[in-house]
Amino acid sequence: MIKGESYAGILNPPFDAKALAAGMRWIGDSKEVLPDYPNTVLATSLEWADKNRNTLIAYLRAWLKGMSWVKDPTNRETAIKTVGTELKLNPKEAQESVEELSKTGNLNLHGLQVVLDLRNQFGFKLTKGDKLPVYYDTQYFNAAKGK
Amino acid sequence: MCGGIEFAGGQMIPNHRFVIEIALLFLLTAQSASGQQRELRKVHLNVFRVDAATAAARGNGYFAAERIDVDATPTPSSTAQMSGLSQGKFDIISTGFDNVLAWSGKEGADIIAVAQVRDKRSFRFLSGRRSKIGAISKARSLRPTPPTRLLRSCYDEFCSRMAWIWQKAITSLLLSVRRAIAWNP
Repeated sequence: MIKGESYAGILNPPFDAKALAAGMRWIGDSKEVLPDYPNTVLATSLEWADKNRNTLIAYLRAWLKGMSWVKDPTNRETAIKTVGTELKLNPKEAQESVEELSKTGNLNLHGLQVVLDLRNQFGFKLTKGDKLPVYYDTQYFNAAKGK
Repeated sequence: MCGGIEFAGGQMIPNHRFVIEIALLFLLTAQSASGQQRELRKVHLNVFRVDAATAAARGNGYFAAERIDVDATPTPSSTAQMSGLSQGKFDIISTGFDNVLAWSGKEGADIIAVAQVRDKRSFRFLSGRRSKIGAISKARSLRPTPPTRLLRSCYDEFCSRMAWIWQKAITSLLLSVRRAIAWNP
């Protein structure tokens, strides 16, 4: 786009900010038509999860502890500083990283269904079929939370 | 009798060497079990961007407390990431759910989502400076429409047109992805 070789693009943060800074024009945001389109998930292979159940649960337990700490308003300033140091981000980027983080880590099942429905609507043939339950498993997360 | 000394009364007590051998065996076994518990479990994490929870868990020592050593690597592309997960190069990945859908079973491995890292995703549609679409964005930027107002007035002609543009854009994106998959099965 900057070279004028393409008319338009669909960009994720932080690349959209870079494009705007480079003089590109903002047309809109997908949230206007897809308000519950979920962002990143943690994923693994079913085989690895089965063979390393305890490791996966321990990993999620530590990760959730990190999430709770980051999202605790009393830790906000320290969290931004820690995240900035760990990820080598400036304070603004570190703050964005903290803000975009899920509050609970619970899978957004409605949002995941939206993503699947979109693929089904456009005729994608998914190897594992068109039903959501084969694409996620909450047992490890629940075990990590002590449920 | 194995090392025991029998007294006149027929009662057997172990000799010193036997006691020391048993104690050593016990200590070695205990040490080995303890060593296994202390052993770090390496987890190969592959990401587009490391999230704040992972950074905090690493910085505050939460992974270390669970005896987990996280090896986080950045990925250059979804293909490299999903292929690497399917082939066992990575244990856990942070990725878009669309990748889970597209790659589960594709190279043999079934892939599952286990937790939500970031809740809402938004794609920003941007145009180049001299493009035809740029005229639309220019018109829009002169009279910016807040998303909430935009949604409320969704039946307006303007919104219908914008919705049509979104649909076309998303359709084009999905079709191009499908073509790419067809070319690179």
